Amino acid sequence: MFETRHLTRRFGDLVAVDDVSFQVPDGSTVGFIGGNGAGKTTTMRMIMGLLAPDAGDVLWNGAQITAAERRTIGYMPEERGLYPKQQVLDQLVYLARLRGASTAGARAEAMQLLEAFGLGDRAKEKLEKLSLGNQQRVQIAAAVMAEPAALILDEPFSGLDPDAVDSLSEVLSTRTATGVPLLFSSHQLELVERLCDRLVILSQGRVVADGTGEELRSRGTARHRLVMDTDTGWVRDMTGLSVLDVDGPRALLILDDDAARRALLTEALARGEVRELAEIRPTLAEIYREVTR
Amino acid sequence: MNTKNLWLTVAGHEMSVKLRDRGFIISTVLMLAVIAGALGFAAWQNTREQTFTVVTTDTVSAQVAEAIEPVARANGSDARVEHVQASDEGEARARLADDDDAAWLHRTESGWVLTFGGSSDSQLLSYTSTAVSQGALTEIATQAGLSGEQLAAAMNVTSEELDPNAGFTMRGYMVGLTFSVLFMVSSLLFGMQIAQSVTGEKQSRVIEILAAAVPTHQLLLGKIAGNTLMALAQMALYLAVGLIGLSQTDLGSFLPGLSGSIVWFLGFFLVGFLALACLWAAAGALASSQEDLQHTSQPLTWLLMAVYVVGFAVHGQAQTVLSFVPIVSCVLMPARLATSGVPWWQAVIALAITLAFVPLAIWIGSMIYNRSLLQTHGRVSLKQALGRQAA
Repeated sequence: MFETRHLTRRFGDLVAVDDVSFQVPDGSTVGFIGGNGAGKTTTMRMIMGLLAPDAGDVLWNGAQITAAERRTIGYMPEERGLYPKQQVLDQLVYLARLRGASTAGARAEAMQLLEAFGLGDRAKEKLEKLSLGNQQRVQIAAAVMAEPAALILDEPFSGLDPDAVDSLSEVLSTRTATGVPLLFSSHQLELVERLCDRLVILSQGRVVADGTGEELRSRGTARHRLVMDTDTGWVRDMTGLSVLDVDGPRALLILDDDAARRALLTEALARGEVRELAEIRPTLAEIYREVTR
Repeated sequence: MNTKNLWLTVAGHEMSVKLRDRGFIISTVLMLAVIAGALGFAAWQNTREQTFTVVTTDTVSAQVAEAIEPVARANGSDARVEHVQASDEGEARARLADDDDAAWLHRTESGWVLTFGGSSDSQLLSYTSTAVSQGALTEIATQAGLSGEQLAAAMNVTSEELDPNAGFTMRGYMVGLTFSVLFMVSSLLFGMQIAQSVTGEKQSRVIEILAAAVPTHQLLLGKIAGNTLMALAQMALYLAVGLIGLSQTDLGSFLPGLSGSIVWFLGFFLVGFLALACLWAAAGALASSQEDLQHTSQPLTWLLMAVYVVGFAVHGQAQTVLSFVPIVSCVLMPARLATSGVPWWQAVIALAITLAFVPLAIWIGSMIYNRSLLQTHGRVSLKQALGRQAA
């Protein structure tokens, strides 16, 4: 498990990361969400030791992280880059060896990953000959190789086609299944919701939400939809709720409490056929908009 | 994980990349071809005998024609002069028409004439006129009652130097020039490659992955070790081919005296290159793109240019003093060893001073390297790199 505690970094007058604390428990996948400039990359670079924090700590299993522990983290930086003029396989082997893998082991693992990403027949080509999407897959392979103790991936899914997204999430879940904690950032909210156990939402350098998808949703304002076979205009006279919208047989409401819901249902049944009375779960996008506003 | 030996992995990678780099292989082979070609040409020039044919139609001219070859030999030429006696002018002219290298020597009222079949040859003309004047002088001397030896003594001029070990000598100049060129070309080439490889890693952003996996001093050490080894191997290869080639020419007689200084040169080259390698890496780290590298590597380029010029332009006392100054000594001390009797302990002192300079250069270089490596946006100024705390 790794975590940040009160991590802060300023660039001149700008506070890029402001008192950021969150945890990435073993075996869990944490999605790091935030707009451009929210501080995701800066936070990740501080965790990796590529940037010194002005305040705060990075902890590894509860203690201050060491350089040796950082070296076991598989990292994919925001600004992509490998060696454009070197062979795909060669550079994967080199980078894995730098992280402690044996040459033979690295070679086997690299081939296995390239196969999984559909690049098995291009291992001997120079990286620059590959399309950008395929270069991205090689980049991901570089990060997950050599049995990383944790994974920190900055926008790993950007620019990938749906097939690649699937094969990447598969590769990642095999890693987390062995207990590896994974932190990745993304703009693709649906994807994050699908893959992550927890979400950390960053806005202007601050953590504005942290929890499971369920927790975040329940924190948002719950709305109810009522659908009947007759006009629902009468809801405007009810107490204990506020009306967002009435459109003939449909009404969109915010209920104050359970008593209000029971009262609403009783009244509705007395007035006609109730087709639906359901809570509308806010989407993550709505939560995101709400908390980052 | 043990990170102490990661530099070996980095060094191995640097070398394997270089050995598979087509540009590197082609330039090495080309350079070897140039060296072998130049020496081969010199050897060929050496062995080639130039042959002139001199046609004469009268006995006096024939006597002069016979004297031309000895004159040429006395002037250090291997040219052969073949004498052909023709019966008359018609036959002589016919001979010239057939042979462009032939010339007809004959006497007119206004003096001697050398008629060439092709274009006139200044060397043959010069040898012939010397032979003519010697003949004339001998005749006059005999009439005046002088012996051949007396005449020769009266005409002979040789050269000597007051102190062959002092000041400018052609041989010293050539050796100094050779070492200067080798040192400059090789350290510029390999130094630039180190800088480019550092900048390339910054430009392609792979540096973030590397720096996350490897302590930067290990990265620097590996880069320097790999490239220095390659530079030294390439230099040794050039020198070996050059020496083998040289031994096939007349200049081979210099070799026994040179071999010691060549070993010294390789030793100095290794130490000098090591010192500079770190600074090259720093120049590379200051730049974020290959375009910036032009600027950040300029101080080193100037330094090497200065060493190059000093290497062959400075002589006498200035040379002695400068041969103890780090980096410059890499060229000057081997040159002095090759040309004058320098006691071995002086070379050892010069080498020790350069060796002492290495840690200083490494310290400055690695400090700049560490502090600039992760600044991937724009050029980092020296002031920034030395003044800023590590990020």
